[in-house]
Amino acid sequence: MRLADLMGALVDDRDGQEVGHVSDVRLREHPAPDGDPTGTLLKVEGLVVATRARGRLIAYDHRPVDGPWPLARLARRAARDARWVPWSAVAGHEPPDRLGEPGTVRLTVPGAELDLLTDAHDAWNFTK
Amino acid sequence: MPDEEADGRGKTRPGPEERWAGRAYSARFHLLDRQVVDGHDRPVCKVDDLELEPDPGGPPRVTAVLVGPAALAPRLGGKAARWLAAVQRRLSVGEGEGPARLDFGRVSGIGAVVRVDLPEENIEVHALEDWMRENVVGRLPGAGHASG
Repeated sequence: MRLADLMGALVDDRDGQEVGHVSDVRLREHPAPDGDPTGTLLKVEGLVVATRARGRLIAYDHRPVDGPWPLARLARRAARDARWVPWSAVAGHEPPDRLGEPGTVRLTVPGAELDLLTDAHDAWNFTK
Repeated sequence: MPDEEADGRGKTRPGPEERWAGRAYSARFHLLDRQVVDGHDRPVCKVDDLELEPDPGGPPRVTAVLVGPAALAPRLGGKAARWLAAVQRRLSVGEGEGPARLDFGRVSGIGAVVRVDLPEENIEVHALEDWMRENVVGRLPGAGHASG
């Protein structure tokens, strides 16, 4: 699997309802097992899902924007409908039938249960 | 810049490129299309895509940086993706050649650039680019007089 399989993929919830498309993929470093010389392992943490057709979230989805206030306001407005999908809520991924078309990500939960991206941003502020 | 950094109060803050457990990245903002450089700051390639290894017990793990037209094509979407893939296949010097890959274990830092530890003799990752330099560009009149 490649990152490109996920980026832009359509996201269907547990009931087959389309939630949106993958706007970004968040990754996190994990401690490598003992004896692994690489130090850390980079793993997928979850997906940022834009719910609007043109929603690329103008690059404000990668982290919370605290200021200056006009930018923070613009960022929250851009991300207000976006959802955060932790990898634990991903049931599977189907590659596209044809190169250049989006694949599909299926979720284990209803779309209504997904957290807002802006709420996830608040949680990210307290994680290390 | 990383989107999360340790609280440095009383502790040594990790460097801006350092990979430490807990650090998080946005694929689109921090990784894709970033310049890859070697230990001497020489440009090597760009991050065109990442290879993910599924893990039945957890989230997929990043195993390689994928490089070149074969890696970039699926990201373009639509006709552009198919056109680039077709051109890459036509110009490929190998049978069924996939994208060039850099093992992610060689990535020593992620920041303004992605830094990799590469052996001196293994700096080339673009097979197509190498072939073009040796067989096309190198044979152009005056190619031997190029500066730099």
